[in-house]
Amino acid sequence: MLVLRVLQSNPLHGYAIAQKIHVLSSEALAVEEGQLYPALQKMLVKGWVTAEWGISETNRKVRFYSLTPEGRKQLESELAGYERVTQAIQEILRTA
Amino acid sequence: MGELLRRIHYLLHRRRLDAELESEMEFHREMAARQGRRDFGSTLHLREQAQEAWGWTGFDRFLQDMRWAVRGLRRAPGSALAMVVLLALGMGGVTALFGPLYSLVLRPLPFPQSERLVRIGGYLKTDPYANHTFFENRRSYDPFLSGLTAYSVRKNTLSSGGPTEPIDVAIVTQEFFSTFGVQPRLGAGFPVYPQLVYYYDPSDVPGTIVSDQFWKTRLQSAPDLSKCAITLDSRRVDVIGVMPPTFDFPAGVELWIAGQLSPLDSIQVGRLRPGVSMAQAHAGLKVVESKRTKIPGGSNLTVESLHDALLGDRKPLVWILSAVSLMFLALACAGVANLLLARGVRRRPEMVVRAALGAGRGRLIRQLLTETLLLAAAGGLLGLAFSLLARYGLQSLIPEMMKDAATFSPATVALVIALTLAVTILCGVAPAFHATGADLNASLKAGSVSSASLFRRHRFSVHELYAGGQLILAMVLLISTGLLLRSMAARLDYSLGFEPKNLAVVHVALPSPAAARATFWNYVKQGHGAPRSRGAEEAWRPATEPLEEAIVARQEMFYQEATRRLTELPGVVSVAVMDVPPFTKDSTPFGQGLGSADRPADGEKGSRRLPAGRYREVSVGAFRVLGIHLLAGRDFLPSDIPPPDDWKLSLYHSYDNTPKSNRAVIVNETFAQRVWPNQNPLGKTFIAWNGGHPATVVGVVADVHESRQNFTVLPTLYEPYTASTVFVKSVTFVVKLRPGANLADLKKALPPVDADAAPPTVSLLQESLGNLPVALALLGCFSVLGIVVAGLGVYATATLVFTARTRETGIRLAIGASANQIGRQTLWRSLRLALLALPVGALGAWLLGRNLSHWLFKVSAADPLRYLTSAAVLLVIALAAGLGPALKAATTDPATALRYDG
Repeated sequence: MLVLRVLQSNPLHGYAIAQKIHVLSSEALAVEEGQLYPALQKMLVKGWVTAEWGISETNRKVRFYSLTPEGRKQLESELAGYERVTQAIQEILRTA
Repeated sequence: MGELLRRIHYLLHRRRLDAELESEMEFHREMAARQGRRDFGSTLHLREQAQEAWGWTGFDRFLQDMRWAVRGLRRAPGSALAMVVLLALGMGGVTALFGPLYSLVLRPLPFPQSERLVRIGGYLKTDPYANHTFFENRRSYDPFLSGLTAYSVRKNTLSSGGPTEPIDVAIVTQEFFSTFGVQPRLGAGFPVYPQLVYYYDPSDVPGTIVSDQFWKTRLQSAPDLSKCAITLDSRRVDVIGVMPPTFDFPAGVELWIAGQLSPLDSIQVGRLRPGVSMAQAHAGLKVVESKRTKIPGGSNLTVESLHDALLGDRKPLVWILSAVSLMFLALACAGVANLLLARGVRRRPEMVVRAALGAGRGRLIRQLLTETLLLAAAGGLLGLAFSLLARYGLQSLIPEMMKDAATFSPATVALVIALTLAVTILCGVAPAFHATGADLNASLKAGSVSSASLFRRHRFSVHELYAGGQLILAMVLLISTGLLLRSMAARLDYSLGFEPKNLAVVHVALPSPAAARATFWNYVKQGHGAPRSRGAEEAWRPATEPLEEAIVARQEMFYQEATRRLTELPGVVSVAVMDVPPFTKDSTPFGQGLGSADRPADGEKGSRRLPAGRYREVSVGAFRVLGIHLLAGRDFLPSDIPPPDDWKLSLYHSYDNTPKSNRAVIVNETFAQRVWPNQNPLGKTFIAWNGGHPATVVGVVADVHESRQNFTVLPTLYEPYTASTVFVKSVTFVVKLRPGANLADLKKALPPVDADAAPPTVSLLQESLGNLPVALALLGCFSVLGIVVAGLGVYATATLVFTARTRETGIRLAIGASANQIGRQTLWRSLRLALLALPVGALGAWLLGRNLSHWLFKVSAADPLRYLTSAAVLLVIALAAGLGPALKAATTDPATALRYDG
């Protein structure tokens, strides 16, 4: 979900995705390579993201991942699900 | 769907994509390094993790295992080849037999609700008007049957739309197609009349219904049936319908005509009402018959499934052959499993090392199973080739069974795949688990990779279980194939009942003055069949008699002339007539009702029905020509031939109660034993089927086998042949030739036949006998191979046990055991196995033999000698197989053995 979310605005390459999640979460979350790349490959197979070769800021050929319409749909449904769950948890924490 | 396509894309381009992933990760690593991080793990491991998302890891591993397996098997080509050939033989046999098993036994007959179709046999009223009987039956059987029909097959001559040739025509009652539940796909079926209609001649019938094949070839697929007609026996018959291509009953018949059925060879087929079982119908119909014939409980009516009736003895034959082939496959599997176990022991070091390097047990098992799968697949492919060879053998054993069993049907391929998987599991699982057994680490720790721990002293090892299984199967296989072989050899050698060597069969249409014949049948037609009262006959006779006599005279003259000319040929020894010689095509697979009640002429009380059987006409001397032994009494004499007057149309009628002259008949052994058990059949009198003529038995001849498929010989009644009747249209000569005589000369010698008649056919009887030796050789091969495989199993096991205990042997020798003791002990291990396995095998064979016995010919299934010899053979083999390793064990040099590191 997080990977999909960070890809929502603009295409990024693998390292940038990891960095962005790391930075945006105020360094609370670190995405391990061992999780990131399998996840990316899975999303490619599922058709949620596509990959295109581009040039990185360090002038290297690298793959940029971008969301597909299907990926957007998936993100929306995951966000909605996540919201429901957190809301429910909030409710319990408040009232119990 | 999109996901699937993408997955396939990843599969096809996985090399390139892998490289891309690698460069991407390399970039990530560089970037991370720049940030001062050094803890990027193994790129290879990470890459593999990422690739798992593609979903092809399993497949990749499988390919890897396959490559590994090929390499591994190449290292031991001998045992790999042996395993593949064994499996191929096993699977080939099963595959070859699957065709006939499916097409004959498993597949239902191609009619709607075909399981309701039954054959009603045994009963036949002594009514010359067979149709009348069937018509009555239809009414009285109604509570049990929703349909009833009767048919018989006759040979007619077809002379339109192609070459003139004899053709089989099914004469049926009008309800034929409705009983089978199949309607013509073009045109209409036969009209069903509310009352009985008689037909005598093709020209009287409302028309013929033809097969799809006939319509395509002989009628050029004419769309308008109203203009279609064929010429049958020189008469025009309209075509009123075309059957769908799937309808083939009676097998091979292409024309169906609703006509006058002969009481001699008609077969009744009924359709059970829904909810009525076969047994209920049987009981019910018996009551109906007993009431009608006034013989309490004396009706010999039978009701059996049409499918079973058609298969006859072939059903057990196919089942038995399938069982034998499955048994052989199981034996082959056990053999392969044993070889794999041996391989496993040899590869123990490899397994230990791989396990130490981190391969899980599951992974190792998986790899070993892949190896077995590879072997099984190779075996399956080769097995398909073997099955072709086996088919050749089967073709000669059971030709008609193989007719429509396709070689490479999708079902066959599916079977081979299924067999391959089954074989993999059967052969592979135990060896794989065994080879990767729990003590791998212990073996490693012990410093020496020894397999000694695999064999405990008293318990049986897996090897021995397999070897024991092989011995059991081999015992069953040996006994049952032995029985089959003996039974078949018996059939081959002396039991045909006749001498087929140098026998030719000549079939000729009898000529008759066409005009006279047409006029004659016209009279018959006008009389609505034959006259049914004395008055009617007297009015009718002056017109028909001269015509009938003209026809008969012409036929008789031709018959005499043909006989004389054939006899005078230099290559001919003797000539006679038999209407249906053995092993020639007989369209009616069943026995016919021989018809009538036993005549209590010699003081016996009551009367019985004769059993169903066959009726044959033979000329004087035919038994001698065919080499059929006369067991008692005498052959026919020329004076036994009934005078022409006896054969006239009027004599077919039961209204005539004037005493008739006794006719001489000859019966076969089975007939005599069935009807007059423990009595002298000679001189016995009974009423034959034909309109009340008392028949006196003058001779008994040996049983004659009429086909390879039906081994039970039917009761047979022989009457003298005569050409002096309007009911005979052709004659079949059996000719004994001198060796090397030319068949073509026979054809040339015959007097000319009518222009519109089918040309005569000449063939050698031996050609229709089939090639039994090939089939025997095939079965023999299977049983010999079975023994060899079992012997190899024992040998392999004994060798393994010995090898595994080499060090132990060394120690024992070193501390004073004698070589003799060691050898005896090793041998005892093999022998113990055989002694335990053989009785179990004998029991299995006995159980199988009980089912075989019905089918065996002149061989008892419980032949103790056979069991003893089979057991002795296997025991000797087990001993021989165990002897080698035992000798080796006994001659072990303790010093070498102690150093041994196996």
